Amino acid sequence: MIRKVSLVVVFFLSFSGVYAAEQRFQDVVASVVIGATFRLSLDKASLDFGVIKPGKWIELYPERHYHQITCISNNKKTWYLKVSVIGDIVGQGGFALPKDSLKWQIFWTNGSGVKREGWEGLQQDKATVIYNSGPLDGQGEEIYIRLRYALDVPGNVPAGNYNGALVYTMTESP
Amino acid sequence: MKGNLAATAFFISLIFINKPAYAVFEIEVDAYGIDFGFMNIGESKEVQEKGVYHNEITCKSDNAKTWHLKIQTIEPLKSGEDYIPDENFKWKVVEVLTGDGVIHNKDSYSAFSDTASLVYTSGPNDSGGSEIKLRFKYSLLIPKNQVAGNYRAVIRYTMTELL
Repeated sequence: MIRKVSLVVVFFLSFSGVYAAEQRFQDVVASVVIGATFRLSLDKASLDFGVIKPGKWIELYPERHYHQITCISNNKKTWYLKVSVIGDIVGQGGFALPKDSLKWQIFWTNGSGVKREGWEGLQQDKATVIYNSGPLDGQGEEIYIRLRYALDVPGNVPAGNYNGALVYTMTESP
Repeated sequence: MKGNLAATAFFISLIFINKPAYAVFEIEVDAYGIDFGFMNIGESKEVQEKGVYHNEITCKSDNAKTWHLKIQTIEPLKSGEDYIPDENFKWKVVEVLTGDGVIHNKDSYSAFSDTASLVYTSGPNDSGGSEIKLRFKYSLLIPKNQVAGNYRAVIRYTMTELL
């Protein structure tokens, strides 16, 4: 009885035009090489403390940051932000301010790295690491580092205009 | 037991007999690579190496039945564990030669997806054995926060009688 039913079903399906729908496919490979980006930019290129009396401490924008550094890396590697002074902070007559009289402090960052806390003076003969990138800082996101500055003017400084050049360096070398 | 086997064999043979031996149902691609070359973060690029289009998909059916062309990513653009989201990788049909069917989302870019998107539905004269050629071009936008590397995706074009 079961066999008869099966044969009837088979007969019905076969001659009623039912069969698997056709389907074919082709695959294609798409590719792109994304280049490494390693970039640093500053929103301001100068620091101006104005007129200061010897022996005084003055902060730029004490309630907030003075400028912002933007670092971008998509290398997935640790990078470092360093600051140094080219030469000296020199005034008239060749008198130089001690480099550590210029202080900096990281006010805020959106990075996942390690920042130095509190006020730090510039080092005499070498660049100072101010920020070590974290594990999420090398994936192409813009990492903002906001800095504050202060000048601790020695009491024995001759009057005059003092100038120096700060250099910020983003590097993969610690 | 023997009876059941015989019934199954009969069933299968009838199915094959029911399909005409001369039926054609084919899809061909004229270029197996979509190479965007070197790009930087934030950059966008279109590829259309053959002037207005990049590659041509040829479909042929003489089944006298409606068929559809679909497109999807089998793997997204990927480099190790990093990938470019599909919404940045798009396709567009530039033109269809000889077909009288319907181009879905004509004249605009559509983002790739891992589920098949309908590209073309054949018209009344597209299943008589003639070649229907669909020409595509592609665009890619590299997100600003994309890790450097060599990325590769697999795209599948499917010609099917199933909607």
